[in-house]
Amino acid sequence: MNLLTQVMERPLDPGYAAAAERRRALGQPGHTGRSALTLTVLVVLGVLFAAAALQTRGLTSTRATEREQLVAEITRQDTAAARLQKSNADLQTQIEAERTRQLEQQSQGTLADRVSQLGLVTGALSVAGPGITITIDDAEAVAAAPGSDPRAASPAEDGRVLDQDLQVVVNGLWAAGAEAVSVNGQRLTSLSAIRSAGQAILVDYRPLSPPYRVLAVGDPDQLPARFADSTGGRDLQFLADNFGVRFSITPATHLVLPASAGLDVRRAQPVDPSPPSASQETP
Amino acid sequence: MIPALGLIVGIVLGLLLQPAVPIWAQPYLPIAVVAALDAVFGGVRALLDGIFDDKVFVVSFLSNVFIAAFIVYLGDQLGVGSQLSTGVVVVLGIRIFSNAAAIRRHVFHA
Repeated sequence: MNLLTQVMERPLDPGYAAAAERRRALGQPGHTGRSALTLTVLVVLGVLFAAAALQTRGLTSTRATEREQLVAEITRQDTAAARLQKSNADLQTQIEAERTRQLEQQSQGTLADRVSQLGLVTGALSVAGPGITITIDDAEAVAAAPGSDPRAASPAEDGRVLDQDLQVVVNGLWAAGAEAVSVNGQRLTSLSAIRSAGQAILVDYRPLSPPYRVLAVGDPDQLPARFADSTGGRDLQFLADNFGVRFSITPATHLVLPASAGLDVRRAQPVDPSPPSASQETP
Repeated sequence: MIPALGLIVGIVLGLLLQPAVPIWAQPYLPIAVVAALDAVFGGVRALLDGIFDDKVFVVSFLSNVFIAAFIVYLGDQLGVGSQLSTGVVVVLGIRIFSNAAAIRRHVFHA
């Protein structure tokens, strides 16, 4: 308590009293003038105040430059990832072509056909053909609201498209006879997962941002009607009517769906040369 | 009057120039500001007491800022940084309050 009492009772630097005493002994007044030194210190103090205040509000240039650097780094790595994905896809195409050639050379034409057919169905090969495009977007109220970034944490809103909505739509498309489906460029396979993390929808663990473009290759004449009649189509209509979720279905004559990046070989068995049907290709 | 103008000029300068605080100094800036405030209140009180001395003021300002930052730095190295900053803020806060009370008595005679 002694320490606190001392701090309370003698808050003034004893140096002032001592200096005043010394000057009085020399016959000068007890205080000195306000010199340029004092002024300098006060200017420094002002700068210090401003710096501390800006610092606390995160407006200083260091913060800004750090942020810019991070953004630049993210953009750079995104481009690098996209480049690698593209080269991966190119190599995959080369491998497919090489395999088909090899199989045909070994007069295993049926096997080659079967491999490419399975590749189309499983999503191991890219697919082109007619089909429909379904564009789904959050309700306008959600999209216009601040913090509509799907990765930002905000209270759940009714008009937001959820992972289960996309699941229902995709399942409806499969049921309607779609031969291949992709969501925002992510090809769906039998092992694909449509999930959510926070507010973001993940397809094969890649975050998507709205609007969601679901491409389905299939018979363009039958697919829209059969989809509209399926559970998926009805659910989508229900969402649009009740929660303002926006969607549109347009037929397309030529869609290109990329191959899935998430497939790898899990099981293999040697090809029995005599009956090609016994061989199993598990992508 | 002139010292107050100097303070305002400093604040305006700081807002305009937005000096970049080096990252290593960022944790110590707030405590240094509190220490500087203490020195300023001490100076104002000494002025009103009629015993102001510019040398004492400047030296107390610099040493206050330096020692406060140094104590927090030392605390950070020893793992008691937040506790030591609290201690520094408490002591300086009490001093600022007492000096402000003395200034109030001088100005309002109450």
